[in-house]
Amino acid sequence: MSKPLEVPTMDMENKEVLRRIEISGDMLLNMGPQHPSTHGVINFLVQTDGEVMKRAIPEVGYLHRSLEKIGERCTYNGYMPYTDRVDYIAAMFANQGWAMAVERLLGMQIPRRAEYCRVIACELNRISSHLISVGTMAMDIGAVTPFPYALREREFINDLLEELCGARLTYNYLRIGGVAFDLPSGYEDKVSTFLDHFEKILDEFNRLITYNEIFIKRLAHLAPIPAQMAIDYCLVGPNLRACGLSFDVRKALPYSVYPDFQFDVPVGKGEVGTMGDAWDRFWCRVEEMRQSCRILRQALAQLPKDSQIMGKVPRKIKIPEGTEAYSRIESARGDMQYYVVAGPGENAHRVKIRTGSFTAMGIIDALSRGLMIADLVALIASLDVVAPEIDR
Amino acid sequence: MQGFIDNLIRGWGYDPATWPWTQFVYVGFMGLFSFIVINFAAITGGIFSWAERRIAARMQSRVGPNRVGPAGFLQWIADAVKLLFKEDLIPAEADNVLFRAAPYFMMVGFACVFVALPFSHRLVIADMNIGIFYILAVTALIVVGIIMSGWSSNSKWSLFGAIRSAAQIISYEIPAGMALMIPVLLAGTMSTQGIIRAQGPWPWQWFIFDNPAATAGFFIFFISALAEGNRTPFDLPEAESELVSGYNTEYSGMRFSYFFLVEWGNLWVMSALAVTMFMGGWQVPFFPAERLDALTGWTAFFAEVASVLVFAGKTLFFVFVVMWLRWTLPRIRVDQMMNMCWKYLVPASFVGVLFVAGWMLIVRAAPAVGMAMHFLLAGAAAVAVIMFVQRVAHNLRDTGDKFDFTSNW
Amino acid sequence: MAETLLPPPQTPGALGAYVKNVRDTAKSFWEGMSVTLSYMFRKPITSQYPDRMSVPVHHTIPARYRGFLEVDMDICTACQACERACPIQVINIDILKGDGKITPKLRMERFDIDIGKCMYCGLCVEPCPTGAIQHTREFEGAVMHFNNLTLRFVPDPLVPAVPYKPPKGAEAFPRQQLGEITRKLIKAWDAPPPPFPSKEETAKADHGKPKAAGLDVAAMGRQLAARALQVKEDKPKLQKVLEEAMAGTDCGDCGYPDCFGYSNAIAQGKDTSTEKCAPGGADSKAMLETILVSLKTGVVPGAAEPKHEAPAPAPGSAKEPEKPKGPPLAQTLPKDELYKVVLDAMAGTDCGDCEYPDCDGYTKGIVYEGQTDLGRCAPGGEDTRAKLYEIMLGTKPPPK
Repeated sequence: MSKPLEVPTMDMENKEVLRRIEISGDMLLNMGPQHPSTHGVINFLVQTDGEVMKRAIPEVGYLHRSLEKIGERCTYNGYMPYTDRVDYIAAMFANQGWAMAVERLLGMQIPRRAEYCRVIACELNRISSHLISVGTMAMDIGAVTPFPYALREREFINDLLEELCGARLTYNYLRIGGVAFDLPSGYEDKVSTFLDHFEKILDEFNRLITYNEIFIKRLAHLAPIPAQMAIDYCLVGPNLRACGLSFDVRKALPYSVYPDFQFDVPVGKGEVGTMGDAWDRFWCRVEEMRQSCRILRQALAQLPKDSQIMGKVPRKIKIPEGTEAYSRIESARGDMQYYVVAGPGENAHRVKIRTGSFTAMGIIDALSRGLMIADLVALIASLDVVAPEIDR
Repeated sequence: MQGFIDNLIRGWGYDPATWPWTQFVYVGFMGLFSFIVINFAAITGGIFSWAERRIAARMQSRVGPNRVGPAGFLQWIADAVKLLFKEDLIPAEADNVLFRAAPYFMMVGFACVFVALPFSHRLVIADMNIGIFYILAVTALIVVGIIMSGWSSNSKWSLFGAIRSAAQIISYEIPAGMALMIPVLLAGTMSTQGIIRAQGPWPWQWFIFDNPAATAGFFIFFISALAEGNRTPFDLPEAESELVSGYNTEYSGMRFSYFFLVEWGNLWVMSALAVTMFMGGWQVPFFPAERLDALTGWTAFFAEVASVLVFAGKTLFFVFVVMWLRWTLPRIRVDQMMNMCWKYLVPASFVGVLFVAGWMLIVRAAPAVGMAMHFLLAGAAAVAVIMFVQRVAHNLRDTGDKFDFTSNW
Repeated sequence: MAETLLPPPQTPGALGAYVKNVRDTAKSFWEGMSVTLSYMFRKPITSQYPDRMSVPVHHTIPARYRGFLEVDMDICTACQACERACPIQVINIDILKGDGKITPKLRMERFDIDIGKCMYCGLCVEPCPTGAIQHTREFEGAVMHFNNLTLRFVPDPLVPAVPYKPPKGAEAFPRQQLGEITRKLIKAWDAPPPPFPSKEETAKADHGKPKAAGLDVAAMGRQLAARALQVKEDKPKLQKVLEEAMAGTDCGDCGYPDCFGYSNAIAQGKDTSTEKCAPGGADSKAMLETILVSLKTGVVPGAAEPKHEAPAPAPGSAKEPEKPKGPPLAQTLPKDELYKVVLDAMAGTDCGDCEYPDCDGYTKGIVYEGQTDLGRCAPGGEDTRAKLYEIMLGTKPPPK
């Protein structure tokens, strides 16, 4: 009668942590899952000594919807609306990742105009996602007004995307082999008008909050991530670039028609504090919005004139069993990767989605030591984690 | 007010010093005045809740509550009625007695301030010769209520809020008190009415423009008052993004509304205090205090109304500024708050008091320097206001918007 | 690690830092407060939905908006493509089959869309041949009863909807004004949900109406198997027999371009699977299995308990039909008469699933051009197939 070996689990670790906290006499604070600034249902076990945190352990899984398993059940086309739910703030990217993965399974090329439509939709979505991020970050720091300003601009983008694809949040705009709709007539003008307006608003936003002294004092030097540490913890996207590393999938591993465009990859410079601190992460997102505007202007100018938006895709997509494909795109939260193995029927045998928010959760424990409770809120916000993307 | 009651008794044909019922009349009038004051405080608190929501909405490009009554003005009554009818929940593990008592402590600490606050030339309940001391003392009762509520809730978030609040309010008492010493020095009295009388109706006669240290003192007082009133950027005790709702997390219904009544009522207190000490209080232009004293009959009544309006106008402007600050600024962190108090405000306020003492000697020797400084500072303030208005207009035009104040109320 | 995370020490020059901090603070407050104050004097961006809108909210919604779904039953061909496209089975269509004379061949007893479940992805709209199913711009879905969230486009299952027969070569279809049907349906949302009739009630209501020819999958399978045994060596003929066992929709679900491809592969022995025919489902699978087993063993399974004589050429092929039959109509009627009878047997949706442009084409194919695949009418499904078999061969159709 030998006792089965205990496999270390997250649960066990937490029990151990709880025991240690009890011994140490520190306070254990459960931050979440229904806390106003955890950006969704996440729990943080916070060990504190007064206002100073000794440790904050993220507990994920409250929003797990087994999306990857659903991918094995649905047809390739039928999974597209589900990818919207991977990251509902930036649904277009999840669409694109899935579409690209399946197109690689099929080994097909999609029409150029469809690629441009995709880029336009994705970059609009990137701006709207970053607006949510910077707005909620300001709100977590306590400034409420930048948030409605950011959301107001986001509503304009939502209007544009709604006109394009009929939905404001879960777009389901991309199809395997192309896009569902062509740009509506007059769309280019509408987007350019919005961009002209938005760039001015971005300046105003900077005046209001980005360079606010209290805001800078709260975020400068806060939880700086050294470049090596960022790599070790697999940070992606703006979080990684804020540490001074210029890695953007759109540049490093170009996909779609991104090589056609001129744009910069904003990196953190430690302008007001240490390189890679929370303010740099905020600033990277603000600058990325500008770069997205640049890409959008170029995409609108270079838009192919033909009207083909769907490649030749069989009505029932069947792919030889065991074929694998992998796609990698730069989502609003960074490197988003899809890995698909084709199954016997019309559906995949395995779908794996790798997202930036999940890896960002890993670094919170290491960064949280010695910060204050208010800083934890700023740290979570600066990493721009989105609960559905963590859990999927 | 004692003089007023004494006069009344004399009018009835008795001598207040010897009449046996004098004390009872005093008690009766005390009850009446406290009723009026508490109602005034509650109603202003309620109205401010509506005003803050409308102003915040407007600043955030929204509309705000505009459905109940004209422009939504009766919203606060609807809210109060709703809160009255809500269940008065007390958490099972809470300390029952303290939990119930905490809101009353806050209410008492808040209402007592009104005893010494002037409203107009004659309208003040008690013009004490230690008015400022009294005000500083009774406001400290609020922190007792906050700590009680945070402790008795038996919730970690509430406790955090309460402890933050205790640290914050007690720390900021010091710079606030020191900054208030500047007008006390300048006026030579601690009576609120006396300090107002020592100033004049015109901006260059106000204490804020008396000398640079007084200007700095005003800002120090204003910042400290924000901190004592738990207003942004010092709303740490109820920082909703960190502490859920701070010390009042576990409260509901009417008890919850007391906390907010006190918070919004405090807007009036801090603004009225700032106006009293630095901004010339109820002084009406062209009618110096001495002339007002001499008036009788209906003219006296109208002069009284005018001074109430002047005082209320200045106070409401500051109430607006406090709200405006709240919807502009982020919140500072608890250690930065303490830094700010002890490293910036406390030294600055001490230096200010010393500077004012020295300045008064200089002015006594050369009154022209004092007058020149008055006009210089007032002029600088006027220039700043003009520049600010231009800046606002520039902001408006910059994003291609039009001036439109009237639509969508 | 901890050391690297600590903020670097402040630069010295205490008084200079002090003044700089105060100056920066004042400057940033100046900027920030001028921005917020400027918004006091701008028009709010929000609109006061629903009652104080400058324009009705429906006018602000773009044409592509994906609101509640709407089906115009007047142009619905009952092809059920939307039902198949839906990833979460929101659409439920119940097909009632008739004989085509007294009752229409194909009627929809139920066309339900569960709005409470729908995720508004729009995948069902894309395959619709006539544009009958569309997203409206309706989105206000507060209801008093959860059950009311189901939009029933066939209001009364006792009065089934008759499918639309699209005119030849039509590009546009006479669709009702988009949104009107759904608006009408959601108006009734505050009413208590109507009770859905139980199966017994439905059965009672159907009683007395002529039933469709009995569909005995096993018997059909045996018939087909018997025929298959006869033509065992003749691959093309065997293919045709096999194809009869399939749904005949040429949907491509099986991975072959059409039913011919699949049945040919089986006939050639390249494919031994029986389950690939999605439209045929369990029926097709059973029939194909019967055929394959009998091909292997040389005996029709289950043929031991035959009751009867069937015109089928195979010995001991099938269960006795309900009434004795003479030779099939195809041998007795002149071609033109036959054409009418066959056309009558079709579902009449002109859906084109049969690879002929319309029902007329398919009928001509069968009657004049020797088309032997009688199972191509997807919307008519089992019934049409049975009737065609009855007419052309005098047999029951093979099980699917």
